[in-house]
Amino acid sequence: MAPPSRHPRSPPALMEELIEEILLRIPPDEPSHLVRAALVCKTWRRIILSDHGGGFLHRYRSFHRSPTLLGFLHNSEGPIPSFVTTTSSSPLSPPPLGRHGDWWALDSRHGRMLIYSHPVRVADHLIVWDPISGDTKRLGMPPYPLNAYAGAMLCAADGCDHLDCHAGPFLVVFVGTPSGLETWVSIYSSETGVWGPSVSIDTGFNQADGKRSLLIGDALYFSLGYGESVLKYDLGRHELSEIKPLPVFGPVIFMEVEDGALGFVSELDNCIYMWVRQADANGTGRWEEHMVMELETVLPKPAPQTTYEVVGFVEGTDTIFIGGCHVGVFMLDLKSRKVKKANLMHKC
Amino acid sequence: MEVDKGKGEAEETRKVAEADRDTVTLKSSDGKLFEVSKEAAARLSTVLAGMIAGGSIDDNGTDLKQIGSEALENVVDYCNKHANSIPSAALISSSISFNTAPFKEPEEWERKFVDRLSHDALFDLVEAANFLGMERLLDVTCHKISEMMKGKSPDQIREVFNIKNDYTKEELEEIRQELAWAFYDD
Repeated sequence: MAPPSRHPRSPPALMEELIEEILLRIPPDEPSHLVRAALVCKTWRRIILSDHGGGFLHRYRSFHRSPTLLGFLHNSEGPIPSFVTTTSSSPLSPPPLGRHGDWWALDSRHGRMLIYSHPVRVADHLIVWDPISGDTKRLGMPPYPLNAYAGAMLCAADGCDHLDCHAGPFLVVFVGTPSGLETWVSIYSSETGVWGPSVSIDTGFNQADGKRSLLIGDALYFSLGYGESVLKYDLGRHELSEIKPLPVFGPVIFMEVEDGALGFVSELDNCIYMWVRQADANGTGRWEEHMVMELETVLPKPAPQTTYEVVGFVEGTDTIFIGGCHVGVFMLDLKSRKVKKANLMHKC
Repeated sequence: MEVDKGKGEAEETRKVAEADRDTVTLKSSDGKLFEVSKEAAARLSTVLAGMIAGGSIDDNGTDLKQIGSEALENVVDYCNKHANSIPSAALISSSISFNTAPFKEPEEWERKFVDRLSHDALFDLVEAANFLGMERLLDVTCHKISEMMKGKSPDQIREVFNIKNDYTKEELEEIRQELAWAFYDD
């Protein structure tokens, strides 16, 4: 038998379904790489923009599972939160906030961010910002007294995979502590356009502290009193409970630790400690130390006489933000120990 | 005899393997013969599994007219290497579809296996993997090709893959302006 003729092979000669498989594997950490691929030739562009079978982009997001971090808002010293992008080139612009007043980024989830707005000569309100489209929506405050607050942003679509829901219906869960000893929660629905009835609980001297929420399953967790305790809000039952006290002092970040368990991380003596909430036989639960990581091997030394501080986390991942004097803020993956420097200084 | 699909195929495979040889002979488009572990072939390729179960394997060399000898050698090499490595549960589960399976990084030996291939050999292997329904090999080879695009401009990608630019200058300029953010560091 004569050998078949050999000719140089290039992807266009491959079947389109194979090109799609190749494009699907472009890592999502730099969104510009997919754009560049679309400019290679018209076939590639057609594949990337196709809406056949749910669409390439939907498949792409679902293939890479956890959403890519494109940037974050950081409540810095000034009146406006700093907008920091985390990719080398980014299509995102900072949120359109005014020049006079104060703003506080409260939460972000499912492609939207929630910002508390305290402008000059205009009543306080909330802003829901969609960084992808640039759209903002303004909400009036819930009709309940508050002195301290926190909030959570959620997609409201039933059975949503949250891969592309940033333009869909949403919920805002707002937590307020009046001057008294109780904390309430009320929910705004973009579909009804109104705040629902509040539910409240006695939280003693522990007030909402404006830190971002944590969503695990059907429950939202809010830090009270800068880590003194945790407020749990059950979304399905519209019920509140408080988990206290924490076994450490100092700044903590709540995060999910394996299979839906509530955990938190804190820093002590240049080590990261992770704790997890274990259920007791009597249903009360207790905190257990889960992991210790020495920072010396993974991060540069901060300025003398100072220590690192955990400042944030990326929900749905094992990544925390950690800042140190003179060295700046880093994104640290607690599982892989990979470190990426964020373009942000840490206050000393 | 009617048997459950899946379970039946595995049983059938085992029976044949016990009764017969534990390798199968495959014949490339240019007539070369290759021996491959029957177990690994059935586990890694849905097409070969079907042929083995259906008894359409030819002892004198099963014709694979779409696959050249170089690509088939790589397929066989991959199967044999795989037979010697510890398979993880995700790789042997046939219930995971290629389209929805979560992405799993290539293992070290798989990375080395594709790294040594020339462009031509790699593209031939992608097609062979696709033809034979070899989910994991397709995953590993497609991943390797996508890595070759990393950090490259459209011009550089065309050069690497020998692709003709069918955009007009005006079309390209329009898209570049519309998506200027993606080209800041060019």
